[in-house]
Amino acid sequence: MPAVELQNLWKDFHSVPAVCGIHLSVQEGELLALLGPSGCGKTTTLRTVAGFEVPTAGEIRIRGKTVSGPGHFVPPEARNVGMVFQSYAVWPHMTVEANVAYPLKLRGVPPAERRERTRRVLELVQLPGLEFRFPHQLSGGQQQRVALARALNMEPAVLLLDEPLSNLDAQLRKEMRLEIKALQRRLGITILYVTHDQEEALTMADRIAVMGSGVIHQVAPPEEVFEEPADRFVAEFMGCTTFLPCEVAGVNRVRLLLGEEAPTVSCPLPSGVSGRGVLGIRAQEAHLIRDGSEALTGRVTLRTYRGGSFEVRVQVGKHVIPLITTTPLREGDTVQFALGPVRFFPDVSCAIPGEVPQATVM
Amino acid sequence: MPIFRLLLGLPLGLVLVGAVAYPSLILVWHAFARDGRPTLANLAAVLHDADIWRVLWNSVHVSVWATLLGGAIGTGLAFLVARTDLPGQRIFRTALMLPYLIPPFIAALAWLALAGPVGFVNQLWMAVTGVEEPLFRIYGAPGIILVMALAHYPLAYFTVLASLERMDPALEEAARSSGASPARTARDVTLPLVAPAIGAGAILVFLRCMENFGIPAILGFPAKYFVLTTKIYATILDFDRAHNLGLAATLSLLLVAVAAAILALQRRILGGRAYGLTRAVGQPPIFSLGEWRRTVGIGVTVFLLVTSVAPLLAILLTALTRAYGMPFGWSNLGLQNFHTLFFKVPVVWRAMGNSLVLAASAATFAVVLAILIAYVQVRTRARGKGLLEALVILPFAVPGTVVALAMILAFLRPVLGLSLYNTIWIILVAYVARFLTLAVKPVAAAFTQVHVSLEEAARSSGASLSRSVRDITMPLIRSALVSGWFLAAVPAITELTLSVLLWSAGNETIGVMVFNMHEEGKVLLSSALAVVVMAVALTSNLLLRRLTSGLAEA
Repeated sequence: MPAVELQNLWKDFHSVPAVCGIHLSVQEGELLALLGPSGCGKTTTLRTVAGFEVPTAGEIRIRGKTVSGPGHFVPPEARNVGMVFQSYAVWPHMTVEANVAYPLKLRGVPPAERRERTRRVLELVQLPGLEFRFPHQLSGGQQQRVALARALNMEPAVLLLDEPLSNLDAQLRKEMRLEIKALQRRLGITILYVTHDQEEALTMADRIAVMGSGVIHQVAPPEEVFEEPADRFVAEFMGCTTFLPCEVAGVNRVRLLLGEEAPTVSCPLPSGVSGRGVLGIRAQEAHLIRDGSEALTGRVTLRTYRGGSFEVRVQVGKHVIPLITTTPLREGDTVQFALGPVRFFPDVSCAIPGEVPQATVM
Repeated sequence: MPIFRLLLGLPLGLVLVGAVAYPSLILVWHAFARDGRPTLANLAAVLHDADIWRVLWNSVHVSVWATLLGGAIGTGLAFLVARTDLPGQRIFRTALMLPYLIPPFIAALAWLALAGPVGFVNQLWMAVTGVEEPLFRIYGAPGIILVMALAHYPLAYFTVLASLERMDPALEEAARSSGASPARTARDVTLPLVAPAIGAGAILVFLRCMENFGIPAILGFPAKYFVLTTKIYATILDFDRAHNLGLAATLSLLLVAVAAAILALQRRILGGRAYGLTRAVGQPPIFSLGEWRRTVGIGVTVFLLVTSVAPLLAILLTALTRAYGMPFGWSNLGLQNFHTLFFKVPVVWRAMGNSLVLAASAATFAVVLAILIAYVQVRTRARGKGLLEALVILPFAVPGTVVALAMILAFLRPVLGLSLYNTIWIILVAYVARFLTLAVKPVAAAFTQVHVSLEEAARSSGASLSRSVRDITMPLIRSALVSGWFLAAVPAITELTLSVLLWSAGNETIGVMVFNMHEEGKVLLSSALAVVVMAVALTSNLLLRRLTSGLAEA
């Protein structure tokens, strides 16, 4: 039985759709990242699970129990769903202990046990000894941990995290990623995690659901989403910065259409595909080669140093292809290079969901 | 740049010393001196006067009750508007501003027309029941408390509403997620978080009540019920009494001391508890009124009809009455009073002219000074900026009656050969001092927003200092200047407290006209003129609102 199940979930705001009939299930003990650009509907989805938004249509089940469905709505306080907000939402008029113990107080846990459990969970988030501080005496990172402790303390059926790390500085963010991940492993809790940061999703998630314009494009483990993006939208979100026009030239071969040059390269293709499309390329995967049957030739137009390696822009015909190399090339050099693993997206998926005019609703 | 500094410093120093520092010091001096020698005689006379202690008690009594009542109304309405599914939200939001836009003394006159001894309610009551006794006695403490509370509750309402709307909705959602019901969330999270705002709103109401002159004058004099402001007024006008001005000055300091004590108390209590709730994103949770929704909606509507609409309607009907004391009826209605007002009483036109000219010139002076002050405050590292700020705020922070008395004491005799007393100039000086801070606020805010680098970019493009100010700074702060001008001018048009003490024949303001006509018992004419003042206040305020909201969007 999945911990959370969304069935055909719709949410309109003033008849502008924000979530368009998505299906998703989060398994017990799994960390599922809901990844997408701002305005894609991921936060709305999370808030329908929390009970802060009433879905326009569809059903939500938590541990098999319907919490939201036709004519049926369980209010947030009765869902046992822990939530960590982007702004932390630590109550400024309560001490750290009062904040973290609040869910237990509401559940009628006796004071002694409440204190003990609160102490333990504060230890868990590495905040021991700060029980009697007020939030304004804490750093942003510490407030974040208080919010996490408060949500964990209620032993929720599912923990919802809404961009929890976006207000932290880069170093702390990296630490917290690992910490949350370790905590989730150790406690075996279920987490639904909303983020727009692909790196965050890749490092933390057991599975990633990539969302755009209110629909889910792909649900898969991080490696799969990264290596085999389902469509151009996912590929772009996963760091494919360059898309080159091409056409199918045989079984697992495509011909690049770069002006005068039309080299063919090998590329995994689904059977029965034909016609034109685009090839998605990552700068990190393209590399220099001495020669070869699939080598492309171009001229370096710009070189930037990025610490330990260079990013160069190579002009091939009318197109510019970025690649990362340790070879100290100079601007104006002619180079031969291979594209590395490429992904073919047929013309139908050229319509990038992110580019479709849409009302941005969060 | 010594010339530049002089240009900046001279007018500023002249105005702030002449119109604020000097009168303040003179006021304090007169409180502690008689016949040019320092003495505690005034203080002793005041402290030994049982009458004064009763007046002080009256002031505190009416202000505390009006604060409790007004604070409760304002806070309750703010909660209803910001956190419930009250029907007709948008209309209420606008309608709840109405009492704020009407000068308090006009509100008092309107209540008199509605619930005074011969007001509509009592007339109706006596006609229906045949009783000789009126239903309400509006003169005295209860009437003053009621009208003060209803005139000032918007201050509490605005403060609490702002706090509720600035609160991060996630704070309340986190409580819901933790398992708290909406009611429990309100008790455990919402209420404690807006408590500082409720306190701040109540303090604002209290200070406004303490310093108010119009309401206790109109509703207190007939019952011989005095508060500090009206007592100061009466003492100033009590020419027969020896040392009357010195006594009035001592009373003024007493009034300022009470206000300052309350402010200090607020700092003590709320000092460490002002939460920075400035991250409002998304929708706050809405508390469903359920089956009470309609009832509460009707209740708020009735409240507004009774407290805001009925008094205004009553004074309008009084203004339209042909013969006072005659039974109410269509045949007794007409525009006669307005006709008399505008064509038979030449003073009215003069007073309106005076008020408009005073408001416009005071606002113009205030804006010019505001530019200098804002420049010094935001752009320079001049020493004494704290003193500058204090001098700007002081005349607005202390009661208007005190400001007026300080002006009288300062300019009773010619200063540097200039005789201001008994001229329109003393009112102008008082207005500039009083309303200056209103103009400074938007201008200083604009200066803060126009980063100095914008000017520097112009300088490095080759513009001179004056050229860069003209081409870059001025266009960017122009809208702030306009709103500063209106912010200072609008309250000046319908001002009463200062001008009632500073006017002289030929130099009446429109507020003074209404007040004097009322004091002379010309009920119909004063009502008609009050309606005119109300119309002026409403239109100028709406104009101001449209203007400033338009600027906020730009």
